Amino acid sequence: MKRYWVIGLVLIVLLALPLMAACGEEETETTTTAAVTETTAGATETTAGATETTAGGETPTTVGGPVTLYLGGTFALTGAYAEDCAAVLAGFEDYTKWVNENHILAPWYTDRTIPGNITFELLWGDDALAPDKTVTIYEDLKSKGLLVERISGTPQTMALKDLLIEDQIGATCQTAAPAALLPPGNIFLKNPILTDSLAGAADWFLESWADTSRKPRVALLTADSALGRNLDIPEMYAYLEEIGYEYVGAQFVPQPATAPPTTQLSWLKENNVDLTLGAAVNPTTQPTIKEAVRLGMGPDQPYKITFCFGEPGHLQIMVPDMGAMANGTVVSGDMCAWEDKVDGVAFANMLQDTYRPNNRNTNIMYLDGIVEAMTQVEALRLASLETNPAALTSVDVLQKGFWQIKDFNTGGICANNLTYGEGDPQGIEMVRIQQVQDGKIVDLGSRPIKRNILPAAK
Amino acid sequence: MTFFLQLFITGLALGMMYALIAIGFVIIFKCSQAFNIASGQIVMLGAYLGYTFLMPLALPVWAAILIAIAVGVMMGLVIERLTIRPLLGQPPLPIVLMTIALAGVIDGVAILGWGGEYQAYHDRLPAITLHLGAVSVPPSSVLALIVSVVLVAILMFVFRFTKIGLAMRATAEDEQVTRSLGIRATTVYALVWVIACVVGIVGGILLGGVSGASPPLSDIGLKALAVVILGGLDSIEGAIVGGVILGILENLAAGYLDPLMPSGGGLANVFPFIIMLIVLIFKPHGLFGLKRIERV
Amino acid sequence: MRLPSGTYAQNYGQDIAMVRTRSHWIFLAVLMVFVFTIPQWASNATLALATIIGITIISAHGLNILTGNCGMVSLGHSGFMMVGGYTLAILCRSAGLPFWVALPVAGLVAGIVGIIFGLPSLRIKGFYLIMATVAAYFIIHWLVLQFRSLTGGTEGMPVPAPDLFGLSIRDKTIYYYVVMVLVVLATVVAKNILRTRAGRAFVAIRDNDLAAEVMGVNLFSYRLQAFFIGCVFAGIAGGLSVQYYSFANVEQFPFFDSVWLLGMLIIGGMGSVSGVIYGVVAIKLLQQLAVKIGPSLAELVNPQAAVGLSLILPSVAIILFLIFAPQGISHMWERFRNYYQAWPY
Repeated sequence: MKRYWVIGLVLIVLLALPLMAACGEEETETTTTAAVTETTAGATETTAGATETTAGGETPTTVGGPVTLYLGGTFALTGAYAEDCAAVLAGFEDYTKWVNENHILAPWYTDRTIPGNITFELLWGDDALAPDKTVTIYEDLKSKGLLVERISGTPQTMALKDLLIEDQIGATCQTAAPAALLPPGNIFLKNPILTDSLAGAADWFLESWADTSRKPRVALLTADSALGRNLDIPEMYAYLEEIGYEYVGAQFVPQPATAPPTTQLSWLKENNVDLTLGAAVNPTTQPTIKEAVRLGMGPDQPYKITFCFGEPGHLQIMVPDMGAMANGTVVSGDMCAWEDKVDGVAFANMLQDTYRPNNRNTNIMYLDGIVEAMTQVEALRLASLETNPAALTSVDVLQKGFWQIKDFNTGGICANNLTYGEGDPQGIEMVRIQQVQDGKIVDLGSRPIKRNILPAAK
Repeated sequence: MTFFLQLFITGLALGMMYALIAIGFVIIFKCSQAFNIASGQIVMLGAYLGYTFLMPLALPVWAAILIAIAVGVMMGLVIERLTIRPLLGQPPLPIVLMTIALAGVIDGVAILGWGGEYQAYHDRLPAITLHLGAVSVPPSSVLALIVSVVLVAILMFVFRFTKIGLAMRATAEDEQVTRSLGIRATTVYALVWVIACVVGIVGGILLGGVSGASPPLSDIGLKALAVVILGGLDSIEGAIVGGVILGILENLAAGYLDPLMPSGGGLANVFPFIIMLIVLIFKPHGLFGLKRIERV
Repeated sequence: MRLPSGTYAQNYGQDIAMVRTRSHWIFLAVLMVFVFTIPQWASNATLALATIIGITIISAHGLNILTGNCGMVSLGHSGFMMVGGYTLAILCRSAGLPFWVALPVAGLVAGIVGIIFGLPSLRIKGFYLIMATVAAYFIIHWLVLQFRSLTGGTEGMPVPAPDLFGLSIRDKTIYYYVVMVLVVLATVVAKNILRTRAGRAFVAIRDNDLAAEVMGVNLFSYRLQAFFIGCVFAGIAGGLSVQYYSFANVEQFPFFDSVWLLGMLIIGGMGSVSGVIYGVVAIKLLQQLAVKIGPSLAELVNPQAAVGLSLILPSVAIILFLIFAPQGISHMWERFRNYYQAWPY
């Protein structure tokens, strides 16, 4: 019987531990909050002062001991988005090397210099699309001193969103998940969210709709994944009906498609659909388009239908893989094409010539990596103008860095200059529409995005 | 009606693919009473091999298939020798667990080797398009049909008319007796793994032509398990019939039931498993399986 | 339990005691001190890893009762964790129940779902039952995605920070203590279940179901009980996991997790309660090792090396254990203990 008393006692002690810890933690918590509030108050003043100095074109004067600042975050290097994330990572790597060698933000930002004592280092981990791995890597990188973060996909966005707000860390991201804006947090977008992006494509299609006798019929043809199901919300259907479409229904293609999606395509044919909208990546779209061509469906085929997918950089893989078979496929996104004559692409080519002359990364998401890395460096740079770089905290980087990024030129990679602020993590205002014509990617111009298609808060 | 026929034909195509994978499974089970959970991974590896041979190396299809078969033979021998042979004579459970671990290793190898990226090789495999009235049959299914028919014919021939085939059937019947008669059971085991790997890799090359190669492709192996449950664990005919039935049912379900689902379907991914559960409850030995299978 | 020579049970209390000798107590005390002081000295990353290991241990205890003791291999354990996780998420979010009420309910619901999918065990066993549990996983996964108004579909659903008697346990340190207390409880419960009538019946069924039935063990009832108990553990672990990330998502419970859980049992030793802990720690550390050395291999192989390795290392470990030490670490430890207890003989 004595043993039970002992076990009971041990249990009581164990139960008491969390309570004790809780009390202890709470006290410290309150003190830290107070401290943070003070610093913020102080910071606002300094910001005002600093804006003037920057306007004067003065270079930062802080020259202290060598400081290493980290950038990076989690990448989904395994899974459906592997190739995209690998390219983003390559962009991050090359940009980091370049910044450390040249100490300016970008070739077109010669006035924005990085103090010589600051070295940037890239920290990253492969989250393999798993939210739990993401959180572990996030904690790991945070403990190593990463003051910023980056995110790759929808589940990861959802897993990290609250943590980022709690820890006051700003993040760049590759995802275009509407969830990132629900409500706006610290995840700074440079892509239009998928719903808005495809709404832009729907606008574009409607402009060219000549048949006045009937409304165009639209359906979702989207990947059966978290990415693809982002679109499947009543608000999206309502928007499409509102601008003058007849919404028919949704079809989901497995990701990857282990069989040609004949079923889904036949359904579209049965229902006389004119335009399909979808969020999908190559493992889904390539078999889909291939089968559509075989069934005689497409803008240039006997059965007239336009397939539109909202995933930036999609066509850059699809076109080399499929050639003329991909003709007519439309993509709405934000990234420019490799062929575009803009500063950003020239910069990317220069980076590739310098750092990977023998194994060039042809994936368009390489540009995404450059933009994200640049945004992180700019946030760190802006923050270190205000605070001693050696003593930077993530709160500084968020408030004096990310929130102060205004009219940020990405060298034409994004459709417009990025502007962020408190409570406004959506930096993009335009969506680019691209189409494959004769085996080449053609820019069909940009459309303003509608910042309102979000699922109702649950 | 066209819609129905189209669904039916596509289902048939999918079913032939399931059947190919299921054959590999059944052969192993028939001769060595081992369950190979890693069959999907072998298929996935086959798709990646197909990509490597057809795209970067740009080999002609026949050469690619020949080299793939050679790789399959090697793989079968290595897998059997390193993982299955040490467990010889053990109950089936450790062997199932072994193949599960094997699945992990093959997945990992594919990720290390090809970076787990999506790779496609469109238009490399010969395209044979058939038209049945208003419906056109996808070339991949015609290919799968031809390959399965040829494979089954070869296997049937080996089983019926060769000495090793006789040894395989004998081992399937009773391993102990076979060994006491001086037949090398280990050779038979090595051979069945070789056959399973070759069938899996060839199936993978065909499948990769349709969907491209990527690690999640291995999930099709789990659906093929539903096929073997339906067809009967130890019946090659069952694997084919089961594959076709499941492929068609899955496609019809996706075509007709998906629009009725509360959240837009995705029924294709789960339908084989629902059927499998029903079969398991009402007819655990499947359509063609031997009824001697142990039951409670 | 094997005791060192000279230790005798003089009354019933001693005979059934789980912790008997002084060295047992010392071991236990050192372990407890170690486990409960981790937050004091470890980094956040280590704490996160330790919390996840704790959650996995709870889940693995359930699978151990089902697979290790009752002999029914389940590849659907991850699915039952999903049931528990979503139950907790829905109860906390939509029904506004407090965490400590929702958690047991999550366990119960998972247990009931486990019974439903355990029903085929009336007729089938072995490989057929494995396939039934595979089907269970995919059907649960699909249902969760379908009932989107309830579960949030593929987007998942956020879960509010829980209150524990008025204290917010969003804080990771406190949550770690909560998880660890539950791990200790789960271990004691798992150990004790195996010493009850049901536990002995499970082992009898595993060793020879026909013989067990002849001796009057009601196969059907005990199999369902094993399913129920195993899935309650899974449900609680799933609930804890969802609460830890304050987020429920189907990708949090991938199919392959069931495979790793089985692997943990193999490495730790099927049927052994302490083996569960060894196995979980071993596999989680191997995966962590892969994540650590992966980036340095990125230059050499490819950036995905970490994930490739985190699949290969544990799988190879499982293969090696299956071939060379099928009874796992707990058996190795026992042999070592017997050796030194009997030393120099």
